[in-house]
Amino acid sequence: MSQPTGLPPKPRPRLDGPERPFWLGLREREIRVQRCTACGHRRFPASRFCPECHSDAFAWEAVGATGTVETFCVFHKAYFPGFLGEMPYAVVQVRLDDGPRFFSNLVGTRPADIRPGQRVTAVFEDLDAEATVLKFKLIEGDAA
Amino acid sequence: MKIDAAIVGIGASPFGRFLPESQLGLMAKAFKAALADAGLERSDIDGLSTHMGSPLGVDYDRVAEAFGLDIRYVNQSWLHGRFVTNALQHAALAVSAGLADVVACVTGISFTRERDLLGGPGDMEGMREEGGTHGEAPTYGLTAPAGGAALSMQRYMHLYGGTSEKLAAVPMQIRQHALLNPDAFMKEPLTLEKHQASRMVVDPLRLYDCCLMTDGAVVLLVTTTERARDLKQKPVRIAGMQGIRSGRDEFIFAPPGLGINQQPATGIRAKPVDQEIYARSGIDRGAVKGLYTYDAFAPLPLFVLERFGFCGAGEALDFVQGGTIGPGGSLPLNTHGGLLSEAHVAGWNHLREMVRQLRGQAGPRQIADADVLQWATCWGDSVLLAA
Repeated sequence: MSQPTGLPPKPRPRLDGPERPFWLGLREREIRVQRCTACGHRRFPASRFCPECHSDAFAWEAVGATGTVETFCVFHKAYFPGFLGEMPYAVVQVRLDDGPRFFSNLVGTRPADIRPGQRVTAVFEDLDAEATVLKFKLIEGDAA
Repeated sequence: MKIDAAIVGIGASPFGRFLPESQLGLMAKAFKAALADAGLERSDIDGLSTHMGSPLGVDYDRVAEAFGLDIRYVNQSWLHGRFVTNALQHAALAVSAGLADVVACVTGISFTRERDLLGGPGDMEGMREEGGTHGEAPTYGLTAPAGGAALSMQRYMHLYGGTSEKLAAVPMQIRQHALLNPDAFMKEPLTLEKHQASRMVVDPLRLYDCCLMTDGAVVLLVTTTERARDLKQKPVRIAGMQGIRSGRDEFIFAPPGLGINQQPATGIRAKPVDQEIYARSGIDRGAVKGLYTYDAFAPLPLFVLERFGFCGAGEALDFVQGGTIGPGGSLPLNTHGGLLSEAHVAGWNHLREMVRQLRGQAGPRQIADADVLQWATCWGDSVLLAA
């Protein structure tokens, strides 16, 4: 999604670090996290060893795209000028049904309408030719 | 090794916003005041402990050079408020082990000069790839410490009930303390109406739920209890301490079990080891006459009350209603006005106040029979100070 004219870009994620498989997955419309192949625990952000069983065996695997809003906050201060076009804006904490949590934004919902417990599904938002970020939207008709 | 340490000198600069002095200049005032308070000479100081280095504060080497000190023990840790009592604990450990005779804990910081550090493009640390230390995720606009605290408070209110009006009890009572302290930057009463009319910074946190961004310096001098007996002031003994907790149960601005970031949502606030300070020191929680905590945001004192067992999980918002933590309350909290109403000297202003209270020098805000006071934080570290 391009920025409104005159605003600087929002902070871009780094694509070349340990989370590279996650960012590549978003390009292909999948949420990929590490799954420990010893105990099955799914984890994000990336780590060399499983925090549950300390195994170093893992695979980056896609998880389901649905989850629940656990909490949120609404920024009334534009720390990053790139957000000036959408003040105030909300940040949500989403817990995927498959385990890991993500901080993100809800697309198409006003901050005043966000409630913990709302059901959401992933939205893959392309920033440019290389970077895609993980956002969420409400699942229509799903009770909060 | 047994901890054998006492605070024997305290000194502070004036506190304010956009002060003309540099951080080092402010620290010089506090340093001189602390030496005079203790009756010590500059040449008596052979240890330095700090967590507030450049750019917010001053690095240890610059302090030693500028003040003409000969130092044989240094601790300089992470440039975060959370390391305040870590720096004090290192001073206590060093004098107990004989690595230094007198350690100066030195803090001189300017949030008004360095205000771009906290959130936004100037916050390099918040760009940490796997998430910032307060949960920062700049790509999604989650930045600044206030963001993490707001996420925690919103979830707390969802789980246990609560409103911004009830949260106001924290900054309002801390302000009542501040009005009894001539050093406090905030001079006007904080009414519920004023609190509710103040702008949202990061909802659910309003302006008065967020601490001051000020300039100031505090220096504390630590030595052994034996040496302390020969000095000018009544010594304040470090009677117990426990370190910062870290691991998967911890998110910096949430109590354990709340479920922020990757923290498990267990609802369990503390394992027995997380309250070990009471058993290790032989001082019961019930003996604590006043509680001091890092009140960068109004919810943090609530989380401290729960994790240290002053009330149960989800009960803190009710606990603080009705004057409990204000002047004359059953558990006065941050009797100088804290970060919310006195100044932001990273918690060293709180430790200075604890010393004044234990010496009986707190004037109109003196806690009656103040013999044991506790510093405790949302991230689990604690220090018990005793007269």
